[in-house]
Amino acid sequence: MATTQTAPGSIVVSDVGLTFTPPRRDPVVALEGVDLTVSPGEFVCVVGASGSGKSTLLRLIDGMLEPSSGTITAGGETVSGPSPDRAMVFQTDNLMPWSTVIDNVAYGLVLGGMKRSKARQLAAVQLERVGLADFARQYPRQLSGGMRQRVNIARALAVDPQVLLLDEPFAALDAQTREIMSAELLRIWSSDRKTVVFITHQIDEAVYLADRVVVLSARPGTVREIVEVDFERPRDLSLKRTPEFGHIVDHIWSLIEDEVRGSLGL
Amino acid sequence: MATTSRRAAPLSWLGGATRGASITRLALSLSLFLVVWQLSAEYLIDNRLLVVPVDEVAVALYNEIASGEFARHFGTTLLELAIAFPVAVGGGFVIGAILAGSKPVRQTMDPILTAMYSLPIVALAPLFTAGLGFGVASKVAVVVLMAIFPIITNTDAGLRSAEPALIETARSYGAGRLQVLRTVTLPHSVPFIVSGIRVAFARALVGVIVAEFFGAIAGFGFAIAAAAQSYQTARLLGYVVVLGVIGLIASIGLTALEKRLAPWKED
Repeated sequence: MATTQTAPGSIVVSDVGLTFTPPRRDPVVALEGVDLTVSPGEFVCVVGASGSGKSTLLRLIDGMLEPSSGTITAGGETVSGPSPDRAMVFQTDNLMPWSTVIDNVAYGLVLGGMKRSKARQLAAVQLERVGLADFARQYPRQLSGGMRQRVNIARALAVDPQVLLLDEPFAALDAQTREIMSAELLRIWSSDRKTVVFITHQIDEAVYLADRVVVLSARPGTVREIVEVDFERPRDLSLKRTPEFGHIVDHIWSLIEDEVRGSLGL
Repeated sequence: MATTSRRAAPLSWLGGATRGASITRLALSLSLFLVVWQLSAEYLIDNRLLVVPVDEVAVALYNEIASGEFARHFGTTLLELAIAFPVAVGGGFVIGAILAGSKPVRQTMDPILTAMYSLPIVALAPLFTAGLGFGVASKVAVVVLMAIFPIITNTDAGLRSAEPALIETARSYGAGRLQVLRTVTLPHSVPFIVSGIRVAFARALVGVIVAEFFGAIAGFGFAIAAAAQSYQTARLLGYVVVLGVIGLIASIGLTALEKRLAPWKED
């Protein structure tokens, strides 16, 4: 067990809490006593009602935020800030509008000091992987939302991170595009199986993608349950219509439902 | 969805899809202007001090060119702009960048800058002529003061309005302060700065002409004032037409510059 916890690509979150203090207001406990161990190559989804601190947890793992208590290690080393070992993908594609698609994918590599020509070569490989090789010279505004988000994922993959952190990456897309994108993500992921932590509101999306689904409860955000999903891979989208799939989704929904109702005052 | 990228023609702001169509439209609108002018001068306005026919203006302008007067005035005005405008753009950019970088400085300077931006700087032209003489220096001072404010405000606005999400993304890829500036904030501010330059050039042109009115030994403003004092309307209008052409060329040039510096922008 100790070896997987320090191997490259592993993440250990132990007893992590985060308390915000907004100016002139009472402190808000966003997360409390969160424990989570992610093995190298594992695909973990995090679901929970709004305000359960899902995005906060992801930012802590990335190092953009610092925990108020507890520790987070990635590959055995304590997280103290963003690192090229971990790549973030946000809900909005956040592509640089002034850069062509290929230069957007090469962005992290060039920042890291790589020569532009070399970075573009590596970027082209990633663009090929997400099926957008023909769009290398275009600007982001010339692409559809789904294409832009694939460019965003290619940009994250290009820096060859050990861990991919995705914060509701498909939330801005329409339902059909979303379905196809999650299947695409699994296809891309299956070729090199990087560790993935994926935040989503969508329970069926989480169950379809994940090896384990972490269910967070709100106020304070803490781990309610971790649900194992042991469907065989590769998974087809038709999996979503099987009764076994429905049972797991129902179970997770039952864990969250009360809180969602509560937050609506019902 | 994806569209094929095609470089827009330099004159596409005229509405034409191709360079040929743009030039045709330009020629059309200029001809229309000349026809209206000619007809008003011949049939509508009887005051020969106010309007003279196009052909007389052309002859007067030709005489100015032949006598070498035109070159002298053109050279002087061009020299004044060539010194003052880069100073205004460079200085405006530096000041704008300082304002964007420091909130206390910005808050302290804002009232003064707002007041000076809205002030008709040309009102100071006689003062500069008195203080700096009839030569190039007094015009440079007026032009710099006229042109610098749009550059300052646009640089400041451009540098401060980059999307926080893009900055957060840059940081998540490990960008430091300077790298954020170079890869996000500066590229974002380019279109702002170019439109600042556009406004600044129009103000610079006004500034240099008015400054030359108040005492000069050469320059378009001087030539216009001299022509007016001796009631030579044709000569006066000749220089005004040339100013219009300069404005048009500058506008086309700036559009081309914008296309080059900010090719990602929607047309």
